[in-house]
Amino acid sequence: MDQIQVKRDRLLRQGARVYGLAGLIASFAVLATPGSWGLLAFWTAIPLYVLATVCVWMLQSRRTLRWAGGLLACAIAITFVIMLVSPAPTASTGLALIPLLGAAVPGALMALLAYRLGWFWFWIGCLAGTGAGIIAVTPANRPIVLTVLLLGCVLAHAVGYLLSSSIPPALRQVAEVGRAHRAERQASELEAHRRQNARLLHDTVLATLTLLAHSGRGVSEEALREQARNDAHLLRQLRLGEPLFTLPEAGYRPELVEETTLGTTLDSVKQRFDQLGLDVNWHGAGRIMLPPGVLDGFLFAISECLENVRRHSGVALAHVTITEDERFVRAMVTDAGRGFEVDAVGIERLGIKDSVVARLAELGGSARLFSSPGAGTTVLLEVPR
Amino acid sequence: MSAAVLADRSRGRRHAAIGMRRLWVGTAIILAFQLAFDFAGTLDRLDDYRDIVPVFTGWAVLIVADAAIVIVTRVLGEHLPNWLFVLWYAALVLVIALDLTSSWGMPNPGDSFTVGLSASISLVLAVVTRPTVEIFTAAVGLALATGVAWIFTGGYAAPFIHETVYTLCQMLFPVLVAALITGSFRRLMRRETEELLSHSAIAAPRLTVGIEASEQLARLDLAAESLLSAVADGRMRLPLSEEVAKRAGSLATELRLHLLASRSKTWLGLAIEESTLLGEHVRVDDPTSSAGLLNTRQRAALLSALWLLHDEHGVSSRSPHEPIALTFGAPTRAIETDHFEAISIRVDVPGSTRMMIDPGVWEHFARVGRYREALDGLGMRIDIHCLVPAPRGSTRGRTDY
Repeated sequence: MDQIQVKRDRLLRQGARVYGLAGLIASFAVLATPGSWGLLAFWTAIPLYVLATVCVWMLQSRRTLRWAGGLLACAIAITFVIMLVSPAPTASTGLALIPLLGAAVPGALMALLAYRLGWFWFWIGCLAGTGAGIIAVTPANRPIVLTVLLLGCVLAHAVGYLLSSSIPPALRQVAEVGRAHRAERQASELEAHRRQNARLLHDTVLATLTLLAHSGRGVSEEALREQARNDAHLLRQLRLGEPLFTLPEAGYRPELVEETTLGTTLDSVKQRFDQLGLDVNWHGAGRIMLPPGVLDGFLFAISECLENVRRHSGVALAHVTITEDERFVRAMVTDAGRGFEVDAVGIERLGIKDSVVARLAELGGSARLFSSPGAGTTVLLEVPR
Repeated sequence: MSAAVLADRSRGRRHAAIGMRRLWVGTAIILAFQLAFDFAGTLDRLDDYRDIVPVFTGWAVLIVADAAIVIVTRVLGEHLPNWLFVLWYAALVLVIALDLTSSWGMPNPGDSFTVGLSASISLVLAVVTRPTVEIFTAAVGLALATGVAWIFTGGYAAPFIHETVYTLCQMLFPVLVAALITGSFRRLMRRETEELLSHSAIAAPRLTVGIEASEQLARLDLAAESLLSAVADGRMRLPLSEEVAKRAGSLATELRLHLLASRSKTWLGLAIEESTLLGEHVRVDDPTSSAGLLNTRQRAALLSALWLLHDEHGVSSRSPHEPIALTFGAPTRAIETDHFEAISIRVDVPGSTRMMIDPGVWEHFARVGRYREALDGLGMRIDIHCLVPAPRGSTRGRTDY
């Protein structure tokens, strides 16, 4: 509620500034038209108009009441200057005073409506201005000027009320939009997660596409078609939002098993890299129990490391050794390739940092990299059980 | 309905910001009073007119036109099509012309200008549905035309010149004030909406994908799916043609890039990227994605502080073109305890002083962490030292490659 009030007050002050300035300009325009006031009244009023403009401009500062009072004083002073300095009040005196006392003053005092009991001070100010105006015009003009000035005050009050009462429902509407947006964002976040998790490990879409990029040469046509069929099926299911465990080829059944074995999935990773021309030798534990979420991340990290070996090492053989103790499961990915200076090559260029490190860190795990030119590369991956 | 029309309408809707309904209804009611007041003025001067047909025709045209606009705006949901606006404006011009004809040759044209005044003020009906510039141009056009017409009539004589200036101001200023106030209301709502939308990013995990990136991935997937199924059912012969092979290659590259890079954004990057207002004023330098480590409360406070700084930055800063800069340090082991890590955040607000910064900003920063502020040559500089829970498992063998 506090925030709503702050916004409402700011809007009222901004409105009051515009309203007040418009009134001052209109009043000055009428006064500046050559006519019955005489030059003396005009020149005497100029500094007062400048002062009034400053007061209106400062309405947005924190001391609204003071500046509003200053404006009222200036307006009344201008009224008396016109009355006393000009030769005799005429019918057109009212024309300069109506924009001043019927628009500039109530418009600027609109800023007070933001405060508690503000309406009281608003009307005190408005009536003081109106009173001064009535004294200044000719008796014959008094009824009509009084009516117009009071109507101007009522109008300013109405505008102020309209503005301040429009804010709370509008902000409620904004909040509704925000809620809808948050839900949408969460859904999209989930969806992206689902797509990535499901695919990084269990699909071979990337591998198949890469094979196709070479026009599918060097692979058995039947095998490639079969693989393309499986991949298209997986993508279709992802798109339709169907649960993935209905997929016959994927050994991915998160809804059915709490813990799953590494064995079969390791094979699928191995197969994928075989097709890409990298031979992977597995050592150590063949069956590891890990929660599915952790398993996904772990396998993803291993495949990312293997992808790096395939691209950068210059050799066609990699070793993956899997070990476990009561707290951690570790994988060591090694190759005997060309290696590199760890400090010299930016990790970003290897593409590991965001994918592997961030992913493992989310799971509470870690990754370390060891390499030097000519001595191959070793990556140590670790996730908690 | 064609796509172009729909696009046009949605563009029009953007001018009708949230919450304008009440404002618009209120404006219409105030306008109705103005019309009644001016109509009374016409009746009062009935004996002065040589011919009352033009002025009453003017009233009929104005009432029909305004009623039509009110109904259309209401039915279309705070929307006014371009052609209708132009038509309505033409009707207003006609009404003013009719009033000028009927008051032609009268001794005090400014005073007897009644239905024309109402016509000009009627423009307030469009402040909600049309952009401020259009309203300005329209109102100035009407007042200018009337002023020029008066100059060429005998009525522009010295004793009544005040009356004409007064009437011209009456034609012009109410519309301008209404347009400006509606403009600030609209800006306020836009800012509120953007702040709220950006707050939806704080619930994101450490690294996240934006809505757009997620949609892009879905599009790539769809393209891959259609290609693969074409291969699978033999619609495409193997080996593939060069063109198709190239497409498969570029799809693979894009997918790869996506899968690797899309999780590199933090909630803060996303919040700033998705907000036009904040994006113009704030730059973030966060090479280690440390912002992602902040907890939800810290994130909300930091974002609120940024919004407050943004408010001041746009209006009162001495160098509004230089953005507010946020620099995140890499997380380091906190001295105090093993379970927390420390992140340093530096906020540079160029061209600002302590006085110019909203007091609420300090409250929010205090919720992010311990802060110290200093005035350097270019503006305010705030250093925040905040503690975040260390990631699980990081106490042993943490990775920093």
